[in-house]
Amino acid sequence: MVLEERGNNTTPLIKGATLLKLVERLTYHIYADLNLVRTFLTTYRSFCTAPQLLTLLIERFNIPPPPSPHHTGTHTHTHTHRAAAADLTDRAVQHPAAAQPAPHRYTHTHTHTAPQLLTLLIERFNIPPPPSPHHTGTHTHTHTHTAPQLLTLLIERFNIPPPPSPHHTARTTQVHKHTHTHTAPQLLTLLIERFNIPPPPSPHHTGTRTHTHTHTHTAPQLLTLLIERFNIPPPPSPHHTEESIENIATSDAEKLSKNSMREDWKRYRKEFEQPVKFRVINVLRHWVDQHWYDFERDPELLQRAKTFLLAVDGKPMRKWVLSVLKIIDRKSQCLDEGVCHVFSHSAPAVIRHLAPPAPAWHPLALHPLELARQLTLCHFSLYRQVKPSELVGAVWTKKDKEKTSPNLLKIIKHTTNLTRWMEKWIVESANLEERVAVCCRFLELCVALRDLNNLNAVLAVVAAFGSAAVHRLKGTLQLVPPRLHRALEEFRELNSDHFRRYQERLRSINPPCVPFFGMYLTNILHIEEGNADYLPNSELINFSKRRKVAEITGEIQQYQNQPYCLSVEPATMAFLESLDPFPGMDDNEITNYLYAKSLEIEPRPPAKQMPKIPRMYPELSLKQVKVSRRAHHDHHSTSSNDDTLSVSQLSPTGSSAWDGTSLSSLSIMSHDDRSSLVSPRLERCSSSSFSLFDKGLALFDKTKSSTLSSRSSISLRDEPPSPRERHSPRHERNGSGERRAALSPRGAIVDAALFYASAEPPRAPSA
Amino acid sequence: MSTPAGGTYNFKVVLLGEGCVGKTSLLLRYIEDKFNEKHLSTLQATFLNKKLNFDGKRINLAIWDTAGQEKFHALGPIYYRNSNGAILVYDITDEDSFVKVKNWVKELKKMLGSDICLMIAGNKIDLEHERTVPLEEAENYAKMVGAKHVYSSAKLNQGVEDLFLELTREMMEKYDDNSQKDVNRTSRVLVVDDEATTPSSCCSGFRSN
Repeated sequence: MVLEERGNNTTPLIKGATLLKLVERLTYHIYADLNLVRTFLTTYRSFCTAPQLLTLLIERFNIPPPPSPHHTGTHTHTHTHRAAAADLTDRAVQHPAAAQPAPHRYTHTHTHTAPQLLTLLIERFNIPPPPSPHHTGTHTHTHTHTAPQLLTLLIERFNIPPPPSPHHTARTTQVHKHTHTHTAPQLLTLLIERFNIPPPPSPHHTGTRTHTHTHTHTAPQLLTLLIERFNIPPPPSPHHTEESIENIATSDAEKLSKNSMREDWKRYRKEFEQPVKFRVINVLRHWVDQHWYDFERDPELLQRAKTFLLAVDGKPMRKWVLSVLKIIDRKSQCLDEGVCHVFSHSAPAVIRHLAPPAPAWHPLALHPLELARQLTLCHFSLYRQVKPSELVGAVWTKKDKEKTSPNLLKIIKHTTNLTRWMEKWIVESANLEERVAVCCRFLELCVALRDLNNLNAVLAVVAAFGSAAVHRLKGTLQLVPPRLHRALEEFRELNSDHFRRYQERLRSINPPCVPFFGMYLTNILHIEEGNADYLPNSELINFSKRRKVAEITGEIQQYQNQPYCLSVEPATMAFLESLDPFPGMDDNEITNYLYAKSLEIEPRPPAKQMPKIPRMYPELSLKQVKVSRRAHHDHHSTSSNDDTLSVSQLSPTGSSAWDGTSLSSLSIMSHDDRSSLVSPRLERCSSSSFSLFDKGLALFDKTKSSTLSSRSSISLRDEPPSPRERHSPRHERNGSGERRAALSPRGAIVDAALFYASAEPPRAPSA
Repeated sequence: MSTPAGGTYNFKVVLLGEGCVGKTSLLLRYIEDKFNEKHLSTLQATFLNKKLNFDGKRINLAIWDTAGQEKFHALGPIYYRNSNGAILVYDITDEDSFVKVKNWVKELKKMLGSDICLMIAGNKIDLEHERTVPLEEAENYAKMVGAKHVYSSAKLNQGVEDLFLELTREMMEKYDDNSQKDVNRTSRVLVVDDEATTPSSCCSGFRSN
């Protein structure tokens, strides 16, 4: 195992290690490294399979114990050991790199006596196989260790600090320092030796072991190793040990040695065996909890894990095992656990579309803000479905991607379809005015998406406007108001300079958000492609590479946790979920079709005249519908305002009075709907009401309304009064006047921020 | 995007092609000439830069790799916007990847006209015995669309350096050409017929840079 250079007080990071060593560290007795557990469970699929891992964990659980009293219980044996130890020490002297740290540690930190040191050494190198009753070949095995084997074992052991005592924490770091102060060649020698250590022999698993050794990790093997790691046999009873000592001890030194040995066993049990078992269970818990799909896909694996867990006994362990079994039960019963998120406020009410959208779902019939919300909910649910296992190993680029990365492909396909859908509507709107209106509507949608932090969809809009078919529509884009042009330019800049702006934006926003997946994908692929799987000239798994991939998947997951506080509008959602503008057509056919249409509606320059084509949807209004700008930053933070925030845009007339067509000619201007974009983290938005007021004014100064106005002042405006006026929820909040909105008198859809629940209960939107 | 200020040319180059044709491998080979882990330790964005001297001029290539994003079929525009050169990579053992190159060429020609320098790279020539894209066809096609055709193998490090050098040379020629015609014009958008080659200027109105 190679560790990365780190500061003194941090947990060492593994740079490279064999699978066996990784599992050992995963369940290390000295410290728990949760990050390692996470990283490992996220990425292990690139170097071993799930069954392999389970085997290894179980083997780890069954780790062999220190020598049993039987075993060291005779003079001859002890002497043999001492001789061996002496021999070892001699050899160790010739091997400074290996031996120095060990005596140093024992003599200096503990001031052990010589016999104690010897005993410790004996204990350390003499890791026998589990002394199962039916296994009698134990000592034979120990004694057949050759000197080099012992040395290797000692070297291995010296990296594992002795059973910790209260003052041991310091020593642990010291040990690591030792490792780091070795010169490179020394370290290399040590490492090479360490990696050649065969796994502790176990009578049950000799067959599978061979496989590990040759690094062709097979499924059963991994599980076996795991089980072994767990199954540390209980240490000998003190009573037994005492007896042995009585019988054996011939000198005080021997006695002392035996006593300290017994102490060591106790410590061993407490400080090594227990933590290891504990951590094996903990890794399993993490595994079933965070990576349940492994078990879902492989019933046999699940069965083995269950069998193992059910076989575990021991009171303190039992409790943990039960909690793991509980998780398994829960996971296997309900695949989709409905996590209920509690927000500090309710979701904004759904905004009614401008006209009955079905069946055409013409963009001009849809309210851009509501469309943006539903789109965001849709994308977020797609985004949060993506599991790290769909990304690790760049499996989405491989042949069986449909099987390995289904959810990732879903969000990618949806993004593509969204772009195509917009392109299609733009080029299929043959009438110029209609086309301009459609373009404006999509850009307005994009503004709303930006405010909702749906960066994935923002880039989809940018792509639509950058496509060959749309980009050439100069005559159309000319007529788009400068405000929206600037917005488009801003969105385009997001990915310029290598996504610099995008990165900045992503870092600066408050979740919830839907990040753009493409950048993560390329980064993961670069790491996967550009780094070797194994460290040079070794069989050590390049764990740094895995960690880097895990960092990216970690970031992805981080954004999956914070949900949106928006309500689903079933009809729109159903439309979006089934979005497929060009069913059955391949990519090339689609772009050809779009480009041909584009040429049709706006021929190449020699034909100066723009074809005059009558409107296809005369019943739809071409007027712009503005959505708020910077809505997220304009939240009120005080609780007194929460009620307003919880109410969103309502139909002024109530659902019963509404008929879609009559609204088609209305100008719909909805402003300042800062409340309609509500982040679940309201408390973080702390802009003062004063600045809000300023912003509000700035927003309105281009519109007809100018200053603080009350309802009456609105009705004084130059539009003809409408019977709907009295229904329009244009109420002043608390009389403060800060939430002014410019509304056309007959504005069908108005901002909820202007409306209170107290003034008029929010009506259920009509779908 | 090329700025001659200070005598340094800045070019944006985009790598396009089907998934798994070896775009990233080519790029890594070119940037580092080996697959080590160092160069990726600081990897933050989906790009890599390469500085080189050519003809006594300093050139900075900002190379964009869209690797891993091939399934985002409609996302191309956000990558190739404002690029000076494009390397279209296909796998000589995979005919579909060559068809994809043709589609890219078409799209780039529509979008960027003749202002973009195109290189077509037939990658994986170490797998020559499995070739399915005929050599003639690829070269004829490249000639037809005014692109250079290069064979490469990231694995054997063949043709990689040439690929980028040739593209750089073309981009410089084009740049110098353009600046002679119009010093201030940095990016001109032309629309050409799908098959014909009569370019006509169009829609540059909405580009800010």
